[in-house]
Amino acid sequence: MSILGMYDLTKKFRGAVALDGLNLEVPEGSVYALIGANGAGKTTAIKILMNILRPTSGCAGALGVDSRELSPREFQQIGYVSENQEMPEWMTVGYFMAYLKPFYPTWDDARAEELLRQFELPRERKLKHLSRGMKMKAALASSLAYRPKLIVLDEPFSGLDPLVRDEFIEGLLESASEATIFISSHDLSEIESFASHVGYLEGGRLRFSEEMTALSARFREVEVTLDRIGLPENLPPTWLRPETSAAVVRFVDSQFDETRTMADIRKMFGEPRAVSVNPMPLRAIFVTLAKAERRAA
Amino acid sequence: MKQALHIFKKDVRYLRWEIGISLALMAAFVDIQPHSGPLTHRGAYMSVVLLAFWAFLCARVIQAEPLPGNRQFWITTPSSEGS
Repeated sequence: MSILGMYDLTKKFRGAVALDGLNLEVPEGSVYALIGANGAGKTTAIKILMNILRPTSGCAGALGVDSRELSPREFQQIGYVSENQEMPEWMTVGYFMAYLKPFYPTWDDARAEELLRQFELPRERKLKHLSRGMKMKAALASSLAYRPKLIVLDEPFSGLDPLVRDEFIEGLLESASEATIFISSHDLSEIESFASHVGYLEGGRLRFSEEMTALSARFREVEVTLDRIGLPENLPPTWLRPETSAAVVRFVDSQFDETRTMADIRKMFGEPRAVSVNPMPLRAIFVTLAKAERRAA
Repeated sequence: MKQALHIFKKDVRYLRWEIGISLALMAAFVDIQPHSGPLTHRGAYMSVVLLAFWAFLCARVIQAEPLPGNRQFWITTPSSEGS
């Protein structure tokens, strides 16, 4: 079992399938982003991973241990922050940190102080008097102060303003060198800036899981200018969202390879007048896949 | 035991006002009610108030960190059963 993995993981809620045979492995030292639309199963997967929910079948594992067997020894090395975590609102920031310290043998006072300073968290202020962004930063600070080997974040950017997001990511990246980070989000522009691997979850199934560089390399927006009007049938299945306006055909190639794609274009349209190929940001890739999936359904 | 004591201290801190009031009510009861003899009218009244406040204190302890649910911060806190 790797540092974090899910194997044929299935979860049903009264017959409704939330996860359907999910298989993924997260390489040690990576920043793995699990993306997907609302209801795709991201939070369910993370809750099973943290032994908060039980799988219907299959299993998940963290730090080489089956999630159902996670003990305090493993939790001492896992930092978990969730968007809807209930915090002890009556505690002050300083007392919250002091309260958690004895549970973690690797707690680093200097690091804790540095995080409070970096996140501009007032020690004397009660958690209930903090804004949502400040609360998330407090939760992250309390999870990074013991230098965990594995950091699991469930939708940490939801509802945060851009400045807080930046601070949050900065704090996170400082720990990235000594930890594996697993993050679920649909905030794709933020994810793109720091994730090394990405997995796309759709309806409880993993559509792909690969390195961000490989993903960016294989998706291209292609625009072909032709001498004639019309879109032929039987386009390659890797061409997503094909559309035409006048003599211009646009599509997204999900398996872009310059030689093969050009050969396919010539095969489908004959010699084109012009072809332009553009890289796509993660957000555009996500939207393309989600729309293609919806159309197929 | 060390962790249990740590968690107990946290609960005492959280409920310090309620615990203080409870102790004050108990002191008032002891002061009002003679050590021997039947329950006086004021002693009976005070014992009802004291019992009601204890029930309130128990409810506050239970409500402070409810067990049902899966969003509580302490769910993934590494507290050992034996410590």
